[in-house]
Amino acid sequence: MNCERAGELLIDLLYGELDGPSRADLLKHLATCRCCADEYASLRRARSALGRLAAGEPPMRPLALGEGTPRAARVAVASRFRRWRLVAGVAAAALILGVLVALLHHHVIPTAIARDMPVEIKRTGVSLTILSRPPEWDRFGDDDLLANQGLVQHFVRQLPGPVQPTVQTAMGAAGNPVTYFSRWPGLALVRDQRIIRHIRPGEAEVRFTDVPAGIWADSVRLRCLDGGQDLAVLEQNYQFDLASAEAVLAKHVDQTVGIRFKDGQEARGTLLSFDPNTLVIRPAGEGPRTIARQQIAAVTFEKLPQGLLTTPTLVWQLANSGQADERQFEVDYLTTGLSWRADYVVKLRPAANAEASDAKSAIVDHADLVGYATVVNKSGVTYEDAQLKLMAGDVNLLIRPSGYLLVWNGIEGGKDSNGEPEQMEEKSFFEYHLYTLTRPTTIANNETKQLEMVSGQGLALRRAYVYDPGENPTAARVVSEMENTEANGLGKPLPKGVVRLYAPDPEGVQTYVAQTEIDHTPVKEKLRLPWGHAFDIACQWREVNTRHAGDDHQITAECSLRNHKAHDVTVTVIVHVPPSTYAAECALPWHVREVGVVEVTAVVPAGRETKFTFSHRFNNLSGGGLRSPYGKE
Amino acid sequence: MTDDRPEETLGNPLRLAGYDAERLRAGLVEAAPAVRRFLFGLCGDWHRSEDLLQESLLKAWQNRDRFDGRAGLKTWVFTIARNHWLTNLRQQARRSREEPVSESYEMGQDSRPEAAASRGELAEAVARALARLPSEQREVLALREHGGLTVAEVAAVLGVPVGTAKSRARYALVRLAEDLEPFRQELEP
Repeated sequence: MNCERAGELLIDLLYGELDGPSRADLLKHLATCRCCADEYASLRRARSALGRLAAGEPPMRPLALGEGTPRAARVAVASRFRRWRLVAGVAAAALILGVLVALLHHHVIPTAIARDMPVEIKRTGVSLTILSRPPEWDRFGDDDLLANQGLVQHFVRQLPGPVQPTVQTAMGAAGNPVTYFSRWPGLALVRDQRIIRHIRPGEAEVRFTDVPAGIWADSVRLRCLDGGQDLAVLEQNYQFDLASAEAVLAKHVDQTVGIRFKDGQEARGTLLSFDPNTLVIRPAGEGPRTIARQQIAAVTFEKLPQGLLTTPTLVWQLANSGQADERQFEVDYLTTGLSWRADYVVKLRPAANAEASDAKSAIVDHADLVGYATVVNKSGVTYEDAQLKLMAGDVNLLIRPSGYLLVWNGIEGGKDSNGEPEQMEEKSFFEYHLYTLTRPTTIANNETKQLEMVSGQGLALRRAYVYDPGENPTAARVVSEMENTEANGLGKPLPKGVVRLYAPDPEGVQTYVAQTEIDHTPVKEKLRLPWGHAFDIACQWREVNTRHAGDDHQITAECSLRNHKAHDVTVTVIVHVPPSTYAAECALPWHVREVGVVEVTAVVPAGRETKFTFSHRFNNLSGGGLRSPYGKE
Repeated sequence: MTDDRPEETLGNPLRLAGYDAERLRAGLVEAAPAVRRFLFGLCGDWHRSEDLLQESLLKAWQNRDRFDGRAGLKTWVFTIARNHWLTNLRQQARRSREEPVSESYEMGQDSRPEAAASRGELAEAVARALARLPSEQREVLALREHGGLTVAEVAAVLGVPVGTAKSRARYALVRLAEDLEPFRQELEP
């Protein structure tokens, strides 16, 4: 395949609309042609940029496509919507909600739960284990999920609960709401302990109302802690059709509602449509009119819609044959809406920021590191005095063809450490690490909490330079390498997270320099932090010769590295070769890092240029198994 | 008023396409999120795209008897939304010479200030890079990337050959990547 044809097909490959032999041919071409591979990489970057633009998509307003929806009314709604959104939206929505909830209390609640009134439920303790974001979500990135419909299908869960703010819903084929997670919705195991008093003998009903909206109803488990065999769960239900103002209004589109204005006037009419600021009403025998919710004191309905609740509710039918009046229960469930991530700050120390004094030695920076755990609660429920545990390590997201997501079982973790217990205590657990906050904390709904997790002082960071022509054809990347050991001031397992680097400027003021991401890093492993590109090292890579003999190919490239610094540097050059490479030649030491990636180590003296050629041979039919004569593989 | 006519008098083509009004309505509701994202891709403003969406779908609903089923429902809705956007753009240009067309792109929320700063910068750069594209290239990206149409569907909406839609997408993406070179590291998938 030539480059022209490849260029035409790149878009198809990018959009997943290419398959069969063309796809295989194109992939083969991309493995050997740097120019086309570069273009493909830039297409992917542009896509990822577009994906980020659409982040923060707000929820949809309901569509009003009724038979009697006149155009004029809708347009009026639209323009009003814009004008008032900011000023009046919150106030009006809150007012209407308040009115409706009050209304519902009068009409629905007493009849629905009257017979449970004597039952008394008290929360005695709650523990939250929040899982870290699984790697599946990293692979696609938050925003790619929605952009690529094909992938989205795999990440669908038919949620029984109401919709989360972070997800997009659409109606599935069977009319069930299907929830598309546009970003990692968070996942936590909640253990909720309660004391229940006055359970009536015989068949009894118990309701838990403060459960999060994102609860996975099929994960709920109720256990009796005081070990009674005299209490059995007959039935468990999760009810979630919330009587929000919007839900009640939505059930009354095309029905008659009464409106009482703040000035005392009243009106009646058919509700045509509504949005957060406006109602569209058609009084009998008149044309439709829009009414700002600001002017409304109350909306009255002729009768209450069936099956609406004020909050998501777990309902158990119990068979109680015991005598005890007070029973202890534990409910555990999985819920979305709770997530955490690790954020690190690395601050370089001023003295060590100077270049190495001896021209021959590598540069070593000294730095302090602090790691924070940022916990976000968007579950809809406030957990008071909760025992908080954060789980680090990649849990496995099992994807079922039915579009079901389930969790558990794991991959590699690390060894336990003897780190001093600080605010967060770290322990190994199964194959993961668990960070437990040593004191209870309250995590309110819609709260973001930051807790210090790890810290280390005076860490030695060795500066290294890595030139990867596939990543940047003209510059080498600066990489700080650090041993995660106690001797080096750290020696604690580091959960995956974003690392921000601050360095002192010439005036000694700490300045934000770069950021990067680290993967889960066990103790005694080497931490590599890639920062930006080195200013004073100019690099060049070009293919100088290609030879083909049947299925056998030889490619020779020339690499030139120019060091404009005042001291020698060692540059690691990354060469991407096809997996079918069987031989390579280079005057400088090299070794195979992994299949398809060769590292060449080049020393460039101060103010000088180092030039070398690298040639490799590959055979797509019989090649592979490249070995370096320098060992270290 | 066309809206209040009884169901029986609905145009024949609709029936031929095997669409009854309910099915059409369900189809519109299903397409709505994608159409809104497409409109967002064009105007970069969620509020405005919401309004445009509501108006476009209403237009589609009012003109439902003109849907002949030859094109897919999705293509049809996107075509209407695109036409509505173009009309809206012309009206706006005529109406307010003093008020330039909004190029402000809204961004998602991230609680971390540093992230917000760096993300804000990137978002602004993406918005500017998009604004610099010729409108026919921007349209292709909005339909494909935000609206989630296939390239063939994009071509159908725009009434151009598939090859043209592809090359527009390719040039647009290459140009975006060039403009966004400073953010290269951040955008690496």
